Amino acid sequence: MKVVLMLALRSLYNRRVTAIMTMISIAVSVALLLGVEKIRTEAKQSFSSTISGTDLIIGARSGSVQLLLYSVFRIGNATNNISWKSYQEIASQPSVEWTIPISLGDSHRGYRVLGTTGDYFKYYRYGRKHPLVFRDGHPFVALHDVVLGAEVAQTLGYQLGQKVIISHGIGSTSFSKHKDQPFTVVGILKPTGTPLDRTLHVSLAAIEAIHIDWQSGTYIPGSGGTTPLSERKLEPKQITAMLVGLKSKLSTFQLQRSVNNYRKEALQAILPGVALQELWGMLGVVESTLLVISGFVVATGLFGMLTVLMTSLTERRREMAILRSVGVRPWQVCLLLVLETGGLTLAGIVLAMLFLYGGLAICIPLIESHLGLYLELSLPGLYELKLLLLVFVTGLLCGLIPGYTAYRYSLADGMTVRL
Amino acid sequence: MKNAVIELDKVVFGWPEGQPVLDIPALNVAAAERVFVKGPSGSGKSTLLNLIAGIHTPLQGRICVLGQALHSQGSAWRDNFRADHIGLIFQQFNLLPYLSVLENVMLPCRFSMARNTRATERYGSLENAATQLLEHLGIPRDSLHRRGVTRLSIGQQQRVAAARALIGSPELVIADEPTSALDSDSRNAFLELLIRECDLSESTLVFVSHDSSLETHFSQVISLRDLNHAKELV
Repeated sequence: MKVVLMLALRSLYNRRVTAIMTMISIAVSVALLLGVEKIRTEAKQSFSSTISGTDLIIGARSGSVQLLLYSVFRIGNATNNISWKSYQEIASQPSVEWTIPISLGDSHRGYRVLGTTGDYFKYYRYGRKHPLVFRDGHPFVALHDVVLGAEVAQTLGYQLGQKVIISHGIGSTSFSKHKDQPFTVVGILKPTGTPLDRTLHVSLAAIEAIHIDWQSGTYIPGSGGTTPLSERKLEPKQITAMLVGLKSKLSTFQLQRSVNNYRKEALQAILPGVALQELWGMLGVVESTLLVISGFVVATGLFGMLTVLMTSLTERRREMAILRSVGVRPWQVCLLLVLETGGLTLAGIVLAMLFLYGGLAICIPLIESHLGLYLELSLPGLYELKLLLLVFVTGLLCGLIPGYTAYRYSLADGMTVRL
Repeated sequence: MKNAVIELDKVVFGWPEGQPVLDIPALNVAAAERVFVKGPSGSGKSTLLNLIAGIHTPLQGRICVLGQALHSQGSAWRDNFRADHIGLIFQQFNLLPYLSVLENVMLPCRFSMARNTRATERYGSLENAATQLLEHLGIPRDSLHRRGVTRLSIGQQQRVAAARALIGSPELVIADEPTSALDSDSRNAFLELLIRECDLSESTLVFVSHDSSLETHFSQVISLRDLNHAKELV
């Protein structure tokens, strides 16, 4: 066994150029498999940790995924709003501990502006119940204060005290701007790895204030009256959605049902966890497609190795015959080839790990800053190890094909060396 | 008669559904003989060697090598037997290109405990055995032993192959046209060295060639054409 292993290694070294090429092709395919797997699990992790600690999300009746998308992920728009009256009624339910109203619709250079109350910074949780932490400054106090998400501040290079003008509607090139009421940056949040990093937070009153002179989506100066802002009662008439925290989880379904059956307005309450699962389930097709594709890439890598070995077998018939003549048994000839494929696969896997972790070490900061996806440089988990073991065993088994062929050759050729 | 090393008795060999290739009523080779088997190509020389080495088994008849009936043993047993008792030399390209000269010579001892033991007993160590054999066969120490085999001339390669066949003193050495790639001067030199070393290790030598000018070196000459009663292959 030891001698056969030595022979296998020496023989491989003798054919090192093709051996290295084969190894690299296996390594690249395995690295791809591991990379896809890594991104898949990390994306899922990052995705499901966008919101936590919230028991119910309430919005106008539409689909639960849609509500989740616009209220949490800032994707798409609400089809309808919730009246401020309904909000107050729900917020005053005895089982409700806290509520966060959310008002969306405006933006600043492509980043969404979210109107809310100070409770947002107090109660919003993400990941493993992480609270929001300020990097600089404090929550909004004055009417025209704005708190920036980490990415907004970083990408646009905003500092505390800077003036910000908000555009009406969404989109980075909106022409209608609330130029008359500039905002001042008073706080910048620490990165969270959630869509929150790409959000500007203002008070609900501010949202009201900037829309005073707007009638049905058009800016008509003076149309809102001439009363100074400080003397107005800036109470919203409606909001986009609300997040609800309950005193006891036990009342979740009770409140959900009563919201869904609310008579005065068509409302919908969803459980964030369930909606996240539902949304991830929709992305699951993409996820498994990726995995299947990378599986095929690995198969291609192994097939490449098989092709190279099978091709070389004809040239190596002489080598096999020489080995037989010095006393190598046919089964050892077979073992020799299995060891070769095993060795190549193993080396490929090790190289793949180097590729992957080297690549991750370089890419993690880039991914973080560009995609807001926080990957962790962690050791491969049990599932990854199982995948690797599967690849290795498949590689070994692949060796049985040239191994068996060589076995047949060595029985048929015997000592007679044929060219 | 001395101890017979090879005994063939009414041996018939052929491929299934084909004419018999070989039909040998009797062949005897005594211990320490130098046998020259001559015959043109296609006369079944390789087949005869494969039968003696236990690669193939005859359709009929008995083959005994060193007193062991090969025809009644399984292939694994014959593999072991061959590894322990038979050294082989081919026409050319005998050596593994990825091993050094010394490693090539020592290779049979890695697969046969018996030859390993004999080589170690006689020369102290395996490496000693290989070095000495190589020196006897005119491959100087140091300059070549640790190098790859690809830089050797064909004549040198054949002598390395001879050293490999002889290491661990197998009872039987079979050489299948080992001189056909050599010019006539080195042919005779190679043959003399080979025979001298076989004498030293008391191995029986079976030498196959179509070149009858070499037969003067041998104590027994067998013409396969006379020996083989099977019809000539077309």
